[in-house]
Amino acid sequence: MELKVKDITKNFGDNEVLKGISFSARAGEAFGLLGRNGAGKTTTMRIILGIFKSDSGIIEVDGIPFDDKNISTGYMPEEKGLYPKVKIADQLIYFAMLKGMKRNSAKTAVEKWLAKLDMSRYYGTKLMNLSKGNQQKIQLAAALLHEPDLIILDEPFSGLDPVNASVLENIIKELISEGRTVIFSSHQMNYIESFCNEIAILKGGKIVVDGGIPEIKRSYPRDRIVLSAGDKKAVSDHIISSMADLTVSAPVIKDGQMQIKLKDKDMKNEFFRRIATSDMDIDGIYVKEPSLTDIFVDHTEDKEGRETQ
Amino acid sequence: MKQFMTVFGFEYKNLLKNKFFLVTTLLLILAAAVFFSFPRFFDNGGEKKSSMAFSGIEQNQQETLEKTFEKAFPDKKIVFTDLSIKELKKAVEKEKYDSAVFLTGPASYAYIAKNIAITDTTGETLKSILKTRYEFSEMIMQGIPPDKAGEIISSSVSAKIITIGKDQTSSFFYTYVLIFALYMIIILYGQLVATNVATEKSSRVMEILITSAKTNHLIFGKIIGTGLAGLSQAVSIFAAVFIFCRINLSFWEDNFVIKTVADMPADIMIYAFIFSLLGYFIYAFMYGAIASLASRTEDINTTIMPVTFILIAAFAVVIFAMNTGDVDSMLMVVCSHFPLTSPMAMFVRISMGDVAALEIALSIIILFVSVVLTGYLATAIYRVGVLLYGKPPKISEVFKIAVSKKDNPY
Repeated sequence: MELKVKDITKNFGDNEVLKGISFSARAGEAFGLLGRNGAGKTTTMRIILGIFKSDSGIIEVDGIPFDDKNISTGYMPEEKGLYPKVKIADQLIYFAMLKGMKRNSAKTAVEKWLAKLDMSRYYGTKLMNLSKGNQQKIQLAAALLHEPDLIILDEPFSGLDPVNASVLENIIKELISEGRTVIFSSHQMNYIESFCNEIAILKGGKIVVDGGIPEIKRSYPRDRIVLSAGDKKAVSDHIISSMADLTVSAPVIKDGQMQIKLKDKDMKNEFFRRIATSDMDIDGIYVKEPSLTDIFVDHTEDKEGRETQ
Repeated sequence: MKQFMTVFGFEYKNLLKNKFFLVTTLLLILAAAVFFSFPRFFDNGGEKKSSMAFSGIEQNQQETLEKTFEKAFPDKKIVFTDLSIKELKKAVEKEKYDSAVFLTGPASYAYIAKNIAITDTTGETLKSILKTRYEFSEMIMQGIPPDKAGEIISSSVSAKIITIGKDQTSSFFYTYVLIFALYMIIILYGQLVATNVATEKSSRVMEILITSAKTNHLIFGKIIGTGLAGLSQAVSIFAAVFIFCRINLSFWEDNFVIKTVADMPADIMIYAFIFSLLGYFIYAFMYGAIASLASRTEDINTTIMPVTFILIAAFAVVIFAMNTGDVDSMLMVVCSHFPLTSPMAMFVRISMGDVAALEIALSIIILFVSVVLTGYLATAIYRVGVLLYGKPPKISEVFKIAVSKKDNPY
């Protein structure tokens, strides 16, 4: 199954929230939607799910316009939504039945998922008596009970402690290995790097970067040098005094190492040559591989978008 | 349909499982049981009669008057004494007698009692007895034979009341009870729908629901589910009232209100049921739609206020008409066909006034069609409203969006 989002636009009154979003997500892969608050991630997800209609553009599954009658979807919204005063089993069975399951199979699915999430003891408990993290797990169960083909998770890791985050991580990996299509958004880049084959970074309703993570990283300018040395002060002073024509600013100490941003990636060799010929005591030097966080910050830091819903 | 049934079942069961709902129902049933059984346990049949002393009556007249007084005051023990008015006062004060009467002349008396209740008719009864006695003795003095005088005194006017329309003396009370119940059913269960919608919206359950079911299934399921749960509660309470009233009816023989309520005609009960149901639906749809515009449950009371005001106004108009007795006034005729007021106004006209069968049918048809239209409009508003957060939009804006062909522009 391949889900294709083609050039969707959306306005809320005078506010243009999506300005032509296009991407594809394939079965057995996870697609990461990244962006600052208000970039348009949630609106994109809601349009895929049919909560909102786009003003233009189309969503297709294997070349046919998307219809949730044919494709089963599971959705975990960013703002967690469950009934606080209803017993967990009752509401999960209700959600599963709304998705078309029969009562008995819904009950079996609820028992299975609660066991999987180590939540079986809360079967007859009211939701309001659970911790925030545990409520989040119930929310995840509500999205996955009916074994959907397309799973959309909006900020699934927010508010989870490391143990629960690891449980969720394993579940998402399992869903991917089962051949489901997973689209998810997160501000925690380590999870995006861990699951996603492809990503799209949104800014102000437009995709500013998209594609496979390794490709994005490779295409990113390799203009950052990481340098370790015993006397960092002496090395830093040397770079400032005699290599200022190559660097953007003074070296920054991060994680016990010096990071230097060059004016241009083509200045790498010249930087290496000058350091090597200097009398500085250098322990190690290499070109920094950009992290997803670096790429995200670089593409999204200047302007602000607005989350409308 | 399956989704509708799922939503309906969930809403119905949730309400029935709600402890507050259950406890309220049981308490009201218990209250009905206690209220109607009350005279059974506090029957004053075996209770000591209150004593009433008479003084200033010649001994030869005491025998005939005793019978008259016993007949006139069946709940009192009649005692004749020769105490003076002062002594009688003291005796009543010291609770030797509960009350006393001193005849100061053939047609004058003093009534002595510690406290006189608002319902105490002793004075009127005494006046009537003494007046008759005085007239009788005067007629004898004028030479009219005693048997003739007795005939004149005991002559009475016979009357037969022929009611063409409704006898409001009896219909008023049961109409009052039913109209109050009808009002309570609409306002309580209608507001319950509003609260549920606002809770689903504020707790963001709506995001899950709306991606799982069609909005018309959601709102119809919710309203019909809540309505049926409310109906179950109302029927349980009414059944309890009816059963306990019937069981204890013999103890309420003297209570005109209870007797008329217990004897209310079956067709009136059927009309009350029809108008409660249709009235609930039209208001519940309005409450559901309006509540979908509130972002927080705290805002719900102010958001739904316009709907509640309409309902209160309808109730006030109907109660005013009932109190004046003019239930077929022009205002009531109009109200009984306008769908937001007709559930109460037409019911009152049927119960207490003079209304043609055709008018009733027309009113029910208008109301039914309005319920269906309100249902569709409410669904359209709900579809837009449930996903709008922040400052509630103007109702006119939402209305425009809802009636436009554009499906959910937000």
